[in-house]
Amino acid sequence: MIAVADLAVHYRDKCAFAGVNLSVARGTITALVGPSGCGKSSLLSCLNRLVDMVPGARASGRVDVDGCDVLDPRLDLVAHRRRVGMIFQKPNPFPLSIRENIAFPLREHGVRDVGERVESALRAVGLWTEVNDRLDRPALGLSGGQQQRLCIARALALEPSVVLLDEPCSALDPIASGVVEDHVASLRGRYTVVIVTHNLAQARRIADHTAVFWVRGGTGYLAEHGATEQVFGSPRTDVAAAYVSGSRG
Amino acid sequence: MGDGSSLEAPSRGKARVGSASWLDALLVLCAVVSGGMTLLVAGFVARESTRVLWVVGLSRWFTDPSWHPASGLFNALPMVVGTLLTSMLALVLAVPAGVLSAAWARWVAPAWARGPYRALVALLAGIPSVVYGLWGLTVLVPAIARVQAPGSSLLAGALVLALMVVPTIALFAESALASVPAPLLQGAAALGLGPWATLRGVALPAARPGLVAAVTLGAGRAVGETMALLMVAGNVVELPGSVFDPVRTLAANIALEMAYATADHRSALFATGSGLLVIVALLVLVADRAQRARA
Repeated sequence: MIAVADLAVHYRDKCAFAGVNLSVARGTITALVGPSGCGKSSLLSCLNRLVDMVPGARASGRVDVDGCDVLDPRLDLVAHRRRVGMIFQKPNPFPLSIRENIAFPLREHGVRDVGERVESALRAVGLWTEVNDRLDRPALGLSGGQQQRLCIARALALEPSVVLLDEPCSALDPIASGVVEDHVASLRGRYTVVIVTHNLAQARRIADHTAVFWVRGGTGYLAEHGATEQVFGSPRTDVAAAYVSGSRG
Repeated sequence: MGDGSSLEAPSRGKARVGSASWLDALLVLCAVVSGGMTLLVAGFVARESTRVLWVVGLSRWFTDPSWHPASGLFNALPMVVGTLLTSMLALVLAVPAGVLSAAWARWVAPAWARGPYRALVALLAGIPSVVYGLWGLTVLVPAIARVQAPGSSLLAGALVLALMVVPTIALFAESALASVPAPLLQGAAALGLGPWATLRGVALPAARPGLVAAVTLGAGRAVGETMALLMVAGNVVELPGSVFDPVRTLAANIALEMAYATADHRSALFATGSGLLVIVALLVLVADRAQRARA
């Protein structure tokens, strides 16, 4: 499970978001929604410490993932990022073959049964039957939707407990988007999923919990968090009510 | 060589700056001059080569008993081998060094060290080759001679050449690595890959077109280098038996013999020059192909 307490991220002088408290139960899907620039992606990047890669970025507060203090500077990043997989907005397969995209990270993490894991990861995202006759062809030759599913397979092959998705469908056409969404929904139960999305209908379809972020004075904050049907059906805050009804944002 | 692309450049760009047709004319003129120069030089070298090529043909350059062009013997094979061996050995040393130093500057070096590093590499690239030669002659050659005489050797040539080629490769490799998309690096980090794995498995494959270009440009420099090799490689026209044996490169040979060469001998030197030109042209072609593959 994930527990976020009083989390804030600053980029040099600018505060991206502050005062966020959020908990995510194991095996559930939580959607982070809200307008651009309210800190959703920044929050996601705290969970796997990718925030470290942004020059001048600083996270404060507390983040626990499976009982592990994520913001501790002594955290073993390699082991942590293996437990917490991430899928990005734009598919980012490596310029390697389809097989190597999955096999290479596995070998780097010292996994032995690479061949089996490649196959089962590709099966898990429905790619196996589409690509098993061209595993050694470049991954960049795949369609956008296939590339994104390959990226999901690449992350799942490392057997993470948490999967973070940063608008995984927004760069895809509607049909590919639907296929990827179905695979994200199928992660429920086996993985703890946090997904950033601008697509409210998508959040409503797949998320158990929804967190609505908003902006106040240039700083993002968590406006409302609850079960998806409650947030969409009977929102407690005006901001969330206006946002989910489409009248604002 | 560069002529094709220079001539095409204005029409390919299709940029029309208002009604400044004189600017167009000036640009076309510059392009024609720079492209034309290359063609003229290549044409002149080819024409001067023909005299001996009519007489000797192609195979005798590799089958004659020795290189005595004044007496009608034209075996250039030892010099071709000398040129290729010094260049390849230099590249074997310079490519990893150049690429790794570029990767260091790009991702590992502390921010304050990057500026001075780049200045240093640019400076290294700008040092005249005769200065490298002088250093090689006074420091490197005696040091190698202590291991095995005479010191002036294939090894000395390759080491000096490597030193000269490293900055070229490092500069181009750094810009190639800079073009690796950030999402790929984030993706690698998110999978828990360390810096070394990211470099090997992600950054180098992604930067490959630019790296190939960097290596071919370095190779072009190595093949054509004259002065430094002339000073340290020993200049004996014989196939080397080991890295401690002296060699003569094609470029050094031209510089050594041009002063007194006449008639067929002079033409033979131009023919070897044509050979160098062809090698460099092929390298430029490979570099160009690699750059295009990037798009």
